[in-house]
Amino acid sequence: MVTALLFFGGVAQAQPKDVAKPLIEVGNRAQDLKFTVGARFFGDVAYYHSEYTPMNSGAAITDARIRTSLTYKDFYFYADFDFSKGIFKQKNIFVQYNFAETMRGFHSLKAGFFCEPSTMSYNTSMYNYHFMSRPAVVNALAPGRSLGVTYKFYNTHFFADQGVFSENKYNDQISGYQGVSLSGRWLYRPVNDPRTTVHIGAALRYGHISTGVPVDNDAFKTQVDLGSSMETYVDPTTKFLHAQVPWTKNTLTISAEGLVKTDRLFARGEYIYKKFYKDRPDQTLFENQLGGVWSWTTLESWQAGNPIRTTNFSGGYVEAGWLILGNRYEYDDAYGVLKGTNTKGALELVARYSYTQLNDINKGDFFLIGKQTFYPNGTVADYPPVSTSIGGGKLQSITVGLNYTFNQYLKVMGEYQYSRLDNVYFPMDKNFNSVQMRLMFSF
Amino acid sequence: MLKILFRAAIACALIATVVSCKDQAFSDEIKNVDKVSVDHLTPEMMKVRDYVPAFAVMAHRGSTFWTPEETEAAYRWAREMGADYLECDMQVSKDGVVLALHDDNLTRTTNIATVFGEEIPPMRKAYYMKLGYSEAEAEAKFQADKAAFIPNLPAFYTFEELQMLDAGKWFNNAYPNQARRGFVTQKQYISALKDLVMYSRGMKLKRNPDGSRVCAIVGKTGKQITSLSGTADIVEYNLEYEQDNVDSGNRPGIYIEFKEPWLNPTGFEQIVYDELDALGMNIITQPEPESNPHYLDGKVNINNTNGKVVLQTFSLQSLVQVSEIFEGKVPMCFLLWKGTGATDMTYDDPLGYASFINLGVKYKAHIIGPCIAGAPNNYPDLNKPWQVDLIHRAGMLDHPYSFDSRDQMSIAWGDYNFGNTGGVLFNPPYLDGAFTNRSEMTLDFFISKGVRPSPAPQVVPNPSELLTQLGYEE
Repeated sequence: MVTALLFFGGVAQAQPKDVAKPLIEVGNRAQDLKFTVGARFFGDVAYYHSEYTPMNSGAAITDARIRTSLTYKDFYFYADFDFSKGIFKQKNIFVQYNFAETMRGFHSLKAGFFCEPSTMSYNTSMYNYHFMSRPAVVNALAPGRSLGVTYKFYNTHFFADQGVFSENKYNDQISGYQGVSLSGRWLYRPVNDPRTTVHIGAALRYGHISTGVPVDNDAFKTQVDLGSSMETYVDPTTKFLHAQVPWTKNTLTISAEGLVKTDRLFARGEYIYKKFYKDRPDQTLFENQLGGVWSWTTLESWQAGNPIRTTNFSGGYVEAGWLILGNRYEYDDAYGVLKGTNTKGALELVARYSYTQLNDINKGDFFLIGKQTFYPNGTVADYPPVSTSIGGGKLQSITVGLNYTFNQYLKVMGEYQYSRLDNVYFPMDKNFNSVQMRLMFSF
Repeated sequence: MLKILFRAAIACALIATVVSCKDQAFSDEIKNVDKVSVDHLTPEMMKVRDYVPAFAVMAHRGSTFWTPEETEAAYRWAREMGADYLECDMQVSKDGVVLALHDDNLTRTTNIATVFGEEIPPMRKAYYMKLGYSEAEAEAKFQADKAAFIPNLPAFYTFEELQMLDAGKWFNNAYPNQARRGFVTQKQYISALKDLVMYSRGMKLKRNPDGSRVCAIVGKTGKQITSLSGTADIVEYNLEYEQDNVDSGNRPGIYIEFKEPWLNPTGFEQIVYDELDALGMNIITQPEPESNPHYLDGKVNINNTNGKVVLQTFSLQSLVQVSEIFEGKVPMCFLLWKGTGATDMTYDDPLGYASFINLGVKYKAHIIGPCIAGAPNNYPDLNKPWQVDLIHRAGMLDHPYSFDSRDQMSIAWGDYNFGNTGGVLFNPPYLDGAFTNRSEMTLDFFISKGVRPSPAPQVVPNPSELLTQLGYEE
């Protein structure tokens, strides 16, 4: 017999909850079964000022989700579905098995489609994030959701989450193996009590990419596209901070993070470094270009005209908050992240500095924007050697915000942001200013 | 306090909403043009720029409409028509003769298919023996040439071989309405740069009794060139000319284009510099008095001024190399084409356009030569009013190409603005000169606008009758 109940209570922790206490649950105690359903909405309004390339100010539904979960004995199933802007987007859908708690701590296995255990930022729900957007460096360099399986252990002082993921969630590569990634995040919490938490940690991710597109008849090209919005969602364009890294075969992402929390203050930050290792079928590409008067004549000459090298990007951010009104800041041991300010009347002041470096430009290269081409060593030529430079842009942002929680289901956020861009594709766009506000609810 | 905060938040949201309600701008091109900056010519560069007359008429390849392009007929016609410049493209024969020839494939504008086919010219061995090589040496060089031979590419043919081709017959077949027997009875040759210079001075080819031009190998110069076809001896030819009996006294300049460097020998810019020197056309070594006028007694006189030679190129690489050799002391035009090719402008928004102008200024060009829209070529339009405004803000001249109709001239002049100016129209006219295939039309247009006053010629000959006067019977 299924009984519809409206009650408040804890459930097995599967991911950081949007709300501290679920609103609606349908349970069957006889079968130890519990089902929840909810929804989440973000409505943003933003005004942007840029110097040359306009951004689209206005208002937008930036998040609209239906969230469901099922708890059955030690299993936890979760699925949410995003249809903001009228487009279905694949979000979390996974099952987690929680082993019995031991003296040493909690163990769990998780499988499905969810955030890789790579960054503190991505593993924090946006409803609880304290800022209207994640820092650009996280959007650009950290992996988001993937299809995979993880094993997690945590207790008061330690946290270890690691797993294996596919590189292509729909296995829609043309043929062959799709690629794989290995991710892990490890934290040490020397201080962790209800009033104060200090954690330091590191994350490591190795990705092997096999999904790509055929080019030049029979060569197979892998490529990584990465980028970020200007830390906003109303205009989600990533054109100002965007890079394509062709022929990437393997990636290595290394992160370091730290967090300090007291009742009224928090500070946290991460540094992310990403290296792209490349592999290209030079012999095939060389042979494919033969057959004309203007062909490269030797493999060596072709390689000299088409050099290749590893690419490096990096970035970091520091975020801080001051809880002016409301209960204290809380820390989530299970995810190693700061919880949201979900108590009625909470008011906090937050600030962030972030930088994202997607420029990997060879010294002396000249960029001609009319051709959007780098010329190595500043030498303008009709057929210059292909430059290995990548000008994805460098973005530095300072954000200050004020967040107010009406109750655990309803919050409002406001932010001012100044950004400084250095992107050869947008030489006239240096300074950006924006004012944003968000009304969000989750139940 | 919470109420105050809440009200403040709502107020901020309303303000943000209101200020973000500006109308959507469909195009910010015009607004952005004002924000984009371009570099400006230095005073020294502006002085050289002014060697070129205002509203100059460049006879594009002589004329592609009335005559076989870049031939004696084309250039004699353009000179007598009163064009300011005889325009040509430069390539080099295998043995180092600088040519006035556009295509890098000889099949369109010559009868090479029936003369040589796709075989190496059989007289190549005899050619080497004329240069003084033994029969064995000549045979070895012939075999080496044969092994590396690429047909139809001018750089693989000696000047002697190129002169065996007919560059006039094809025109009669391709354009029957403009066909003339005279283009065949007076054999039209692939021109050398020297031919072009001599035409600009009122000369024509000296011909043998059988109608062929007087042209003979003198011998090796002792120098060599390296081009697509390998390393070869530079050969001196005896090319003879005579005073043109229909010369009316016009002395146009020449407007010569460096093709992409990979088509030409290493050091091609220096070769042209030296060739101009030898022909008395290098104003760096042989400047003209600055007082010499562009027009004199109703005749074109540019060949006697420091504006007698204008250089031009599409090639980024050639632009750089020309700046190193000529140092901005000879007027230089940077030609623009929109596309994805090696030398093309790919992004023609204000920033992209300005970047090419700045490249031109950096590498000592004085003129920008953008393509224009309109039939029959239907090129991309890189001569929009805001683009011309950018050119003028850099202190450069605008020489768009190529005009074929009065409608195109009217657009470039701003006639269709019907007296309106400013805003998106900027400031017409949108040109300072014109590459034209119809010199008669462009000259007449400029005269009618009053921008070619006396002593420039005020009467434009009838183009068809002029051809007959020049001896090219219908």
